[in-house]
Amino acid sequence: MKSGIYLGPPIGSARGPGRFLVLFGVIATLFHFGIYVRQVRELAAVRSDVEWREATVVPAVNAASDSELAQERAVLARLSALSESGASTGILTTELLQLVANALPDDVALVSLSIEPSTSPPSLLVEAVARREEDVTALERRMAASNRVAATRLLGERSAADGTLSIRLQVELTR
Amino acid sequence: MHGSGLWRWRKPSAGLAFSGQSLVAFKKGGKNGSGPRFERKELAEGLLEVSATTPNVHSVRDLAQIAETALDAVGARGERLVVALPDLAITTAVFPGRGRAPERELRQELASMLPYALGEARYDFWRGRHDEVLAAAVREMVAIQYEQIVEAVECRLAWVDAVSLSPIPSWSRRPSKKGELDVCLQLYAGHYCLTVFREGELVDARTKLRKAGDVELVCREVLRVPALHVSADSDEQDSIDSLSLFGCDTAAVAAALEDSARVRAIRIVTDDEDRHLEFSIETLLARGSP
Repeated sequence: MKSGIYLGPPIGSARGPGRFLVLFGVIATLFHFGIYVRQVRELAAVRSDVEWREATVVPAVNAASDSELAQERAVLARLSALSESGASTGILTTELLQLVANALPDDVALVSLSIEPSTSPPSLLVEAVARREEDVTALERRMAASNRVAATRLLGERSAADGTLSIRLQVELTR
Repeated sequence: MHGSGLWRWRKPSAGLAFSGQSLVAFKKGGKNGSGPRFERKELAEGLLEVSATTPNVHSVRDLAQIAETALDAVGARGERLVVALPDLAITTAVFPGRGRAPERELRQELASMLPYALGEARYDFWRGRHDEVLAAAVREMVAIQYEQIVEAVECRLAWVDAVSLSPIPSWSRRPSKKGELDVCLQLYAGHYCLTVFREGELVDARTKLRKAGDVELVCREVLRVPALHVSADSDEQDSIDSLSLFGCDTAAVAAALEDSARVRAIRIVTDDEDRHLEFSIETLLARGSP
């Protein structure tokens, strides 16, 4: 039961704007809360993706890098040995590397490079993978064209299942 | 608390009441032991001319200054105020046995009694526990003037009711016996309000003009009540069981009626118009928020 007669200004209209503002505030808060939750979820997904990549991809990359680095170090060690022994008869290791780099055709990948300073004359052993026989021929021809190279000898050639050719090429250097 | 949004949950503790001749500010006693404070301000002739149809206040600014002084005196500046409007600004009707009627029907009945269009009115219905309905309306342009006074003194409105209507709901809650006829008479300098309860049910509330000091007219009206509200086929006695008097001239009315066989018991509740305005404000303060 009402407490009595009320003749004041209409309560509904007086409180209308207030109610509207409260309603607007609640809706805006819910809307922003929804956006916040979605962003938190996206961030969590990105974080887990990064963690997964750190856990799987980076070690593999590091492992690959480590092996390549070790190989490079081995080559450099041999080159240093060659340089220090004086057996290379004045050929600098950088010159040898430059020789190999210039001689490699585009479709031939260098697998390993060995220097044998003790042989007479000193020689290089190049292991590489080529797509075609023509590339192997081109590699031999380019090597032989250098005035630092006395002779080239194809020690081995093996055809893989995917059609590529693995070769071992001995390069005799001039004295 | 003032200035915060929490004021809506706090009951108002002060109010203003208007009569044609005076303005009364009242503040309840505080919890710190301070007693209730009351301030009456006499109004200059013509400043407030109470009417149900035309603007009442000649100068809102002047009346607001008087209200401000009264509110400062009781320490109620800036508070939420209940306002008791003058009776003669209100149109009142009682619909006995219509407590379950839809408001649409009650509106139509009230509209037929108003001297202006219902669209220009603020109105409300109070439904009693005996299926009676008390209806009251005030013209919007009249009510707004009193609200402007409250705004001008930097206060906010709580309950707004008429001086003589405010105690009716609390009177209707009093216990009553079968066949009992109770009358409450509120007397003011220029008018009086007669409220009749039969077996606790509000059956009549009428406001009538009188000349200041005219007691005879009032007594005649009181003595008519049993004939009006005791049914002819009833075996009940043709008399008022209890007559409660409020306001001014109550002693004179009581003296005039004490030997009447139609009035069994007379009780003077307040004997001063200002005290009755204060009583009206206190009644509104007890209600809480509208």
